[in-house]
Amino acid sequence: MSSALEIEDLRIVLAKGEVPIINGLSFVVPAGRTVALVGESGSGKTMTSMAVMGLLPQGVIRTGGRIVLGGLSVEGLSSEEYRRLRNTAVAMVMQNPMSAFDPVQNISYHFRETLASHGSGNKKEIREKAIHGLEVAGFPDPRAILELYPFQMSGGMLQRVMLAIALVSSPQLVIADEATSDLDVLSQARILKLLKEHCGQGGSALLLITHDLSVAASMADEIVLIKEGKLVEKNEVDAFFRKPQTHYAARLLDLHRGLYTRRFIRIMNNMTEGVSS
Amino acid sequence: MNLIEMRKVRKSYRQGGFLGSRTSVDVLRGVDLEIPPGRCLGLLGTSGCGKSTAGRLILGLEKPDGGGVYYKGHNIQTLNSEDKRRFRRNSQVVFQNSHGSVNPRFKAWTIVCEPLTYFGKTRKTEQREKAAMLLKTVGLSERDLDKLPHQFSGGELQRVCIARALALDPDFIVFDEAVSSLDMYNQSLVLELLSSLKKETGMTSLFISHDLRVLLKISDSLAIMDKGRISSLVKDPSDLEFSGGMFDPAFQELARSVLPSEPVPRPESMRMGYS
Repeated sequence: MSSALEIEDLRIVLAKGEVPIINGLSFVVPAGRTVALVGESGSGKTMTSMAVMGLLPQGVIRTGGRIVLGGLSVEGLSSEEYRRLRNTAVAMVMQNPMSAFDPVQNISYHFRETLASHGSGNKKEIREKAIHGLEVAGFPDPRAILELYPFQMSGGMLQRVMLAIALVSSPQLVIADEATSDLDVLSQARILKLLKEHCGQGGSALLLITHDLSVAASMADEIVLIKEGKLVEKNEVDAFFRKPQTHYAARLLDLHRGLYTRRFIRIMNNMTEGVSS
Repeated sequence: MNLIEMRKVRKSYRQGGFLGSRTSVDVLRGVDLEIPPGRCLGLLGTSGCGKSTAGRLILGLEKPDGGGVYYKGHNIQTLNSEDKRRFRRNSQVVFQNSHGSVNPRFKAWTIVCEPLTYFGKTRKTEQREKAAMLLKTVGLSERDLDKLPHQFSGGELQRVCIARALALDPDFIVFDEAVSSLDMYNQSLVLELLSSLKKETGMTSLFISHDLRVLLKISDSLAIMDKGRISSLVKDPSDLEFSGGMFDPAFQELARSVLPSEPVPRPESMRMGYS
């Protein structure tokens, strides 16, 4: 079995004072599967994804470990080679769509920018790919969307556009970093449905970065739980929820289940009964 | 009597540039809300339904285009300046984005005491003491008094904002998606804190959120907002099936979009993902 991403003994420090951010983290995202990287804010989830992309912010340094993207080690790559690998092997959907787009360019430009860096096709081809991508992302009138500017769209719409751009090159791995955390429940459900349709089950592998165990529960095949830059627990999703191996995982699951009050469960039950009767 | 209520409140915003045609968008189309003292009303709705605008209007931060907001039976637009000051003092707010709602150069104790500076005549030493007490109330400690905002995590800074909202012992607090940007861990802790504060202080509040789970944890009654109107009102959420909320399509959509708490069983062949 091949893997879309392998991380082995990853070590990242904050250069000033060598404060460790990630301290010997290892996990694998197998091809075509969905792995949820779960942790509190500040646990190092985003830094891990930035390390994979080779985009660690200034002052943050990777001091050790191995990253293998789509079968290719990123060690010793020139920045140009890394860029090419990034373009073909991995695409990323980020948390804040408003700051991920260039505010003075329309949506069509963003497709052109991404597809051109993949070296694919002429103007007409790119336009067709963009239209198809937006259709897949659930926009009824994709041609109109291409002309819009980011500020003319809601956060949920922009997030769907970002996903369309990410998926248009059929990458081996999609990284979704808290991609639905800033959205309301309706937009969240829509984005997750799209991700589910296009990732896993033989499609792109998905590394889902989230603090929300309900997102992990409904999407992931495997859970990787980290705390303060270290692995706490790694397991198949069912086993993780049914029988957590660590005290910390059990505590998080308790807090998570605490959100589902008796009131809430009763309402949901009544609603499903209402439908069936 | 209700502590605060909105009666037939209308609000529209102008859209478009300075020149040329401006179109007006109706954000609130006749909203009625009532909050009795000591109760928490949950306002549930999708992004863009007008719930934050309702929150701003009930605080008097914006003027309604029609209808009115009534504080202890008086329209807040027609209060004399002294009563207006009293209203301002007694109504506080906690927003979603904690880092955006504090001055990054202020230390925690200054942030917490800002309202005291504007409304009270407390001296610096007294302020520090008061701040220490308030930080304890929200589960932080005296050691945090001199920290700057960037030294707090999102959850901790949201507690600082809650402490600030409590500083003047207000009658009424609006929480506008106050836990939405916190991670699950901090969300639970802040919700626990708010529940216990509600019991201890008897505070009245409007809690705005798109997440039904959160509202059912914290609120006594529920208003569902859809396209600028209250589409249903649920006095007691435990009795949702009797009060009509169940049959409100806006409510159903929001409820059904909440993700399940446990993994959904999938057939083994699909689970493996590869063949």
